[in-house]
Amino acid sequence: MEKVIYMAILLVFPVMVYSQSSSLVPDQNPRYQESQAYYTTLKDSLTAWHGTTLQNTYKAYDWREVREARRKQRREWRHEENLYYAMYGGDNGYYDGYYPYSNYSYYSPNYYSPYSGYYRYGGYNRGRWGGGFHLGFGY
Amino acid sequence: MKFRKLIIPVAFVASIVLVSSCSRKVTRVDPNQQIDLSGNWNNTDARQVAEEMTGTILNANWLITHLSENAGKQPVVIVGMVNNKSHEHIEAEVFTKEVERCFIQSQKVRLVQGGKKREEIRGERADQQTNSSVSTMKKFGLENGADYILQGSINSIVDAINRKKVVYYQVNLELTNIQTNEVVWIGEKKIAKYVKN
Repeated sequence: MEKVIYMAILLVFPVMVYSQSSSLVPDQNPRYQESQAYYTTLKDSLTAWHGTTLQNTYKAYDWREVREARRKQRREWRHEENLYYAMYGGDNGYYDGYYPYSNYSYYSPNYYSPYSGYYRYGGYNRGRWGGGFHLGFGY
Repeated sequence: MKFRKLIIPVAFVASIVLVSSCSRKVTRVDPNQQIDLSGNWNNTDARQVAEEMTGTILNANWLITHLSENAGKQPVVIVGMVNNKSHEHIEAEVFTKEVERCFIQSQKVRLVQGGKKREEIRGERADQQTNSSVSTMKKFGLENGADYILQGSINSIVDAINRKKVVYYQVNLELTNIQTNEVVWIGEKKIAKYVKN
């Protein structure tokens, strides 16, 4: 039985080698199947972006934009603070690190103001600072 | 009544002033025109580097040596990595693409794709093995192997005091023989700027 298996291996192996080598076209890398097998596993992810534009962009520094963003954030912070004073008045304990409006960090760049757009410039009792202040146009 | 007569012209003038102060003016300029605004790396610097590199790489001895050693067979080049060690964001592809374009236009040097583009090409080839007709299917193992690799580095030195600043950039591109590891060409461009704020 063992002899039969050995004979079979001896016969089949050269045939496999021959069939592989004979499938090579001139100058083809004899190990091309390794590359083919590797890229066959990746082909879907590699070809999925055909015809699209990869937006590998970066943000150019513009001091004017940076200044505007800084001002905007400062306005928002001030607005939040004033809203708090308007509602609770007196010392808010903000400087102790407690701020009841939001779970977001005050210093986080992703800080989101839930009150933006409301009572922006006066028209509301602003508590300790500028209480009863109104802004408007008229004659 | 007098006040009402006055309010319309005043509002009109005020609106014109407001609109004109907020308006943005954009004009097209010649890409070769030198416009320096902040003193940072800009298109003029990239263009100067590209001109320097393309002007020297094809006239250097490495090409003549390669052609004579390989019976006139054109060298194959792959573009490798450019290491930006400067203090600014500098996109090296702006000038390496110029060098590549120069290779192809001159028809003295052949170019092979590298990096992510090569990965995408191989992915497409793998896809063809199961989806394309046999007559149009491209085979693995027949790519052109590069003879040389183009690599580079960007360095900068900044010296500043009060409102004065001197920025020095040095851009180097190197061509290395992949077989022998021998550096066959080095291109260099130095740019120094004096910025006064």
